[in-house]
Amino acid sequence: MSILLELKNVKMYYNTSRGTVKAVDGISFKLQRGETMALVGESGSGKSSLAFTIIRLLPRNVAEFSGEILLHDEELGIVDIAKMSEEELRRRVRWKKISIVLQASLNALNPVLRIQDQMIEPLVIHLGMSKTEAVKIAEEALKSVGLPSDVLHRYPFELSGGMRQRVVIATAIMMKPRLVILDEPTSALDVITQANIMNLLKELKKKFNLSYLLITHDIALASEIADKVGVMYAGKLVEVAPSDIFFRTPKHPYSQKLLAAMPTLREEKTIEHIPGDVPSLINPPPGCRFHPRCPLAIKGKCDKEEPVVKIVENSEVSCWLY
Amino acid sequence: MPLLEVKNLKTWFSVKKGLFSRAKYVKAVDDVSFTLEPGEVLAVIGESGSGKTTLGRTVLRLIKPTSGSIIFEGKDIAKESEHKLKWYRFSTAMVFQDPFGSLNPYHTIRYILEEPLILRKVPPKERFESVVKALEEVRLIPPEDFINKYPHMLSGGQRQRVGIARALITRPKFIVADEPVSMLDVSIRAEILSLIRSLQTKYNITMMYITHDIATAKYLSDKILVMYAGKMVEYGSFRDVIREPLHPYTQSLIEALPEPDPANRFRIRKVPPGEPPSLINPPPGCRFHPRCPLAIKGKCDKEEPPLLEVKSGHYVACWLY
Repeated sequence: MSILLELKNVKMYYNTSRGTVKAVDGISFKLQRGETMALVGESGSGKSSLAFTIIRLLPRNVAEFSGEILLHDEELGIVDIAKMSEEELRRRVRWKKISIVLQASLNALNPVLRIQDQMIEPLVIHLGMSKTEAVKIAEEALKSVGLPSDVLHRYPFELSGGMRQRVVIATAIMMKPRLVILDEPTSALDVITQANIMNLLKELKKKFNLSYLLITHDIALASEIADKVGVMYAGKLVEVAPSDIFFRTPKHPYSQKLLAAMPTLREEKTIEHIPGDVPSLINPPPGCRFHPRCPLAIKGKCDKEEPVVKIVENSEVSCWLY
Repeated sequence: MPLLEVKNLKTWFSVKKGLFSRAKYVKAVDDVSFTLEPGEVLAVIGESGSGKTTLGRTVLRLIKPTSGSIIFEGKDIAKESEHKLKWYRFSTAMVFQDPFGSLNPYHTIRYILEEPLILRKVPPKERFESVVKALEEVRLIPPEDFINKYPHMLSGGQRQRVGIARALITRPKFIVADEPVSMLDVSIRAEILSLIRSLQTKYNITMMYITHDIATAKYLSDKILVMYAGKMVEYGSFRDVIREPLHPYTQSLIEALPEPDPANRFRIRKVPPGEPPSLINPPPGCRFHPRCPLAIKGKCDKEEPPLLEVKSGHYVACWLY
């Protein structure tokens, strides 16, 4: 396997009237070609901010943006997305190498434009294709997500939620990117539709050797597709582990709590909850950011010093217990 | 005696396209029956557009049913006029899905919780005590920290606790909880579910829990009613139905549900393609037949299956049985 994406100490802070929000605070990980990683965490953990940071869709009020986002590509070589010019990023990376499927697919489509017009827009405007060429590509992409080509002439409101999500996925894979970022791709869908979309994503991954970065708060959904799991908490990545290890023996107390809080139908277990709330990203707690909610916190250690990354049984975990 | 008995309930909405065209109906709830003993919890399961929310609202008489009966404590309230329903309104309550939209942003938590008591003419001093107690019960502790806040100052989970406190502050006999946890993070769901469960048991409240997620229903429910396109397709005790789902639709709902298991990524789930039909023009025969892997040609697409008691207390509407 070869590396596809490598993040080194990526930070993205933004200003609000109440202070600087440290949404992404020193994130490092590697993603191999064809590998899928799930980023899980509660709302407000910075996982969506991280997704946007990777393709450099930064908020206007950005306060700090640093670190390296290295894309390894046979055509471009190793490029740092963080340092590319906007023009180059738009022409060579977005859509072509990395694309994104947004959370609310119902809002991701413009209600007054036909599907065709929105699908070909990036191809014509960003990549300078002719319209006929672009329509052909869009048709092909729709076919691969299981939609007939007459969908092109319809408006979003004529499609069901599941079909709309398929259109958004088709748009994302149109240019055969290496990496597709999925930001809660099924959050507004019903269970059966969700299962159908996950089946589709699995098929597309195989067919095009795609890598996904799945952003979700639902650990069960993550297990549907993830080869490895990264757990985010208050802007930090607290654990990164291969799925086989993560779902059986999560190392970080927060990961353990997240799994224990998951309602399951087949398994007999009493669900536990994580006391307290996600900390503010403006004034995160000192030391380990999870220590105020952690049942195993070591006084004088966890509340003072920031834990360092340790490797335990193939898991990278930031916790003073190890 | 059951607390609530719903028989052949139908809620149809008319949609008229032109002045002279025949009225068409959206059959949101089409022939639903169930009974609830005091303290029982019924899970109503279905996808969006299955009519589950309309069922909940009709049972609370927020919507007037087209036909059928809703017998509460021996009295049929289905046809009762609004001004004779006050007693029913005072014995029931609802918890809403959206913790953001269901609390008035201009009111403090105190007023939000007090309002139902004001309507019931409870004296001010008692009202205040009830509010404090209600906040403690939903573990918004200490109550002084929350009582004068506005909804926007609380997190989603805290707001949903306020919603629960408001529903329970009048000690209703029956509540309808419509997707109370679906807009919350998975990590908070567990907490809210166990909170609802403990208060429901403590006050012996009868409840309808409306959801699309069978996994969360497990932690609350005694009975289950599965709806598809306005029809009830399966009904029985929660354990029996989950252990042995009879309707192919119930089976797919269970099959579609992911559980945290790293082996999931190597399998394709056997779920029916497509999405639920429109309720204006539902398919003839069994409404699930176009998506059903086991549909019998010439039967399922022609005749509507009746609801049969296949095992004691376990009902299913499917031609396979």
